[in-house]
Amino acid sequence: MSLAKQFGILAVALAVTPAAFAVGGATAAKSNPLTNYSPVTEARLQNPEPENWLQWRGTYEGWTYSPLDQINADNVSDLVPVWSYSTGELEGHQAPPIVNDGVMFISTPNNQVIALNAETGDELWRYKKEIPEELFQLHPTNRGVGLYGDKVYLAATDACLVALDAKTGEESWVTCVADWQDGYYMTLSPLIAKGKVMVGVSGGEYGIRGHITAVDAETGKIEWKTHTIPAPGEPGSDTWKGDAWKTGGASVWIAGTYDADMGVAFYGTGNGGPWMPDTRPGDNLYANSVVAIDVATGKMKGYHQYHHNDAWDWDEVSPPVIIDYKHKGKNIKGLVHAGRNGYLWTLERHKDGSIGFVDAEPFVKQNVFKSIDPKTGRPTYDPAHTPGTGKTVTFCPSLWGGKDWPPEAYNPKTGLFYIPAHENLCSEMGGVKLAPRKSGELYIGVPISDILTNIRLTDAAKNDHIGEIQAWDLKKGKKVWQFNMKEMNWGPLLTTGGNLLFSGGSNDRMFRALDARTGKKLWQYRANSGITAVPSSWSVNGTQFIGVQAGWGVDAQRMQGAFDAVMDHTTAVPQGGVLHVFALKKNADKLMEAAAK
Amino acid sequence: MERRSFLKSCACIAAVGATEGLSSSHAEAASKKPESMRPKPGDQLVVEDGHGNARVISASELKLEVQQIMAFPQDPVTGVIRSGSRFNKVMVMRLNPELMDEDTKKNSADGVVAYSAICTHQGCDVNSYIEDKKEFFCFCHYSRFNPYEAGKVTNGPATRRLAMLPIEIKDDFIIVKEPFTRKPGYKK
Repeated sequence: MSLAKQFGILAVALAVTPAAFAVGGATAAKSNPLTNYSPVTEARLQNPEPENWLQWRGTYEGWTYSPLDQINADNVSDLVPVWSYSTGELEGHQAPPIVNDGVMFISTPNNQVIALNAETGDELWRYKKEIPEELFQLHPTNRGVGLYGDKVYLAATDACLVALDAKTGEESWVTCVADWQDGYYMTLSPLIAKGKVMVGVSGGEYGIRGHITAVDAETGKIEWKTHTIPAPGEPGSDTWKGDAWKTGGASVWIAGTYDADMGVAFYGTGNGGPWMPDTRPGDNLYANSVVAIDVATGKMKGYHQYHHNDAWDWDEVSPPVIIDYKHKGKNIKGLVHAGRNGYLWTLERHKDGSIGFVDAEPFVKQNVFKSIDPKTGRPTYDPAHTPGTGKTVTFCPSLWGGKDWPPEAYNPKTGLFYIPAHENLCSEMGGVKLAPRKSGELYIGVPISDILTNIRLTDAAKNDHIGEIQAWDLKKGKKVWQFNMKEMNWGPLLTTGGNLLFSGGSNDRMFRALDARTGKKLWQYRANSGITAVPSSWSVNGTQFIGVQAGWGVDAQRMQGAFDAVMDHTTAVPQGGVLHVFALKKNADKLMEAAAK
Repeated sequence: MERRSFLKSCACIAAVGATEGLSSSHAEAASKKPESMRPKPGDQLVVEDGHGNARVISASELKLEVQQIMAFPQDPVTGVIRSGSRFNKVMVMRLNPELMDEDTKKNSADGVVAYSAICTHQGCDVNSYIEDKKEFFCFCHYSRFNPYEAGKVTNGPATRRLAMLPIEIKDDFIIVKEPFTRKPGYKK
């Protein structure tokens, strides 16, 4: 054969290769779950089938709960890894495996989505958004895709929402909701309801003005945009002075929860910016708040501000978990939030969309709030622990809070509410005179060197523990058990119908299963990297799976750097994203055989 | 013959590739606005105040091993400040010439050096200087770079050294002598 002919064959081979990549490692012999892809409807999002995990926390209510119980407290010791998958990315992996009838979607840092066969781990397609070369932000991560109809939605770091064809990974449309060059970016999972895909923006540290935007799920057209800081003349604008509202932060970097009966989404908002309170006098609505948003119109129907005129970088971006429960004999349609400010907040959602205060109590040591108004929930502050420009003080909990972004969980079988917490950590911080804001540059008013060295360890932190998982009985308003970790806990939680609680979060790279009723450790696995992602559970062909991405980075890694600077030892936590999938040992062999075919 | 043809084809492809590379480079340069173009010989280094005003840095204001100044190049003829690209941001600092290695020395002037301020790891601003270690420091992931050894990495996770911007001093102004020694920025 001539070389020319050989070259021709090579050319043909190259021409068909991209198509082969499109179905990845799947072979013709295996069934492709994309062939009969099940469209995701609002009814399915409201009542997801037990075998599926259709949104980042499983349900609209934010329970991070799977009713599956094949894997349970009695047999979890038989849990074994059945497959794993390298994402090819470094940095912080925080997204759960999202599963729809055997098709899994994971998102990773650097704006990547990978579709996989949820049973075998075969790659179905892979998408990576091209991002402007100069884009830089402090939180290179993603917290999960959204599913609706036959599309997959990704909120990208260039502040653009991308709709992908679920079957092919091809872009259907791209809608940008803000200007990345002005410091806006997105890392959250989209919330989808009433045919709208809702996203919020990060960038409080760059002097942005937060907002939530709803985009038509089919066309990509922007339906409404609601700012979390009112413009002059709007309700709440009198809580700002001068032009501070224009750069006041209140970013929205975690997906909201949703009450489908009310048609209302509940979003948490970040701290005011710049960080020092004297740079933006006033209460600074609606920073550090939960806001109730009418999904149909974008109208803000209510709010509760957890704390006013923030001074501690205590974002309250985690949305409240929707739980109905009894409090002092009264049935409460509740909202429950473990705050970065170290208080466990219980609120009530009213029919008109307004939010009522029920109770608040500290779940970690907190030395800032001197009192909480029993009617309104408004705290008073101890000035000795309130930093300002030219005023450096210590305060507890640290700027990473009693609970940072990692989601809580609620298990309707145990009736317990679970919190990933940091205890015994404090900060020392103060502000310096602000330089004028430059578009796309940090606008904090606290020297970076001070932020890096802010951590102050109490004796209990040095001698006992820092990381915790707490379980609370909301009816009694009491903590019923606690699991301690020597150092940090950046682990989102998953709880299941098998009376289990799964989580990673520690710098020893462990992924653990606890008895959800008692906190007793029942099983653990040491991963390739630290785990800061939301775990999830699903089942295919009668086998229940537990899955979680490992991949240390972002704030967990920053806290590790701060610990290394002040502790008597350093800890190496390698980076690198890997999805780990587990099942019971009895199912492992048949899964391996299926994958090998 | 067939082999020669094959090699010739490859050479042509390589040549086309090279030409395309040049062409795209020219096209990029032509399409870029002056404020986003990389520093050019003859540009002077200035500090921006956030309101569009610039102050030209004088070499004599730089004290030995005192915290770096963040600067941008400015076309002295048109007045255009090249801050349209953050990859043009540089750190300016005065070092002890006697401690410099040869690569550093040849790109410096009277002890003054200019380095890309963009970390080669993930693109954060390298905006701190650790005095006792004599190293630049990136706050995002704690990478450190030695300004006396042409920006060499002394502590990861960065693996590539910082780009230097060769400079000279004229009338006490800090003037760009040559383009960056390597591409500033990072690989995603």
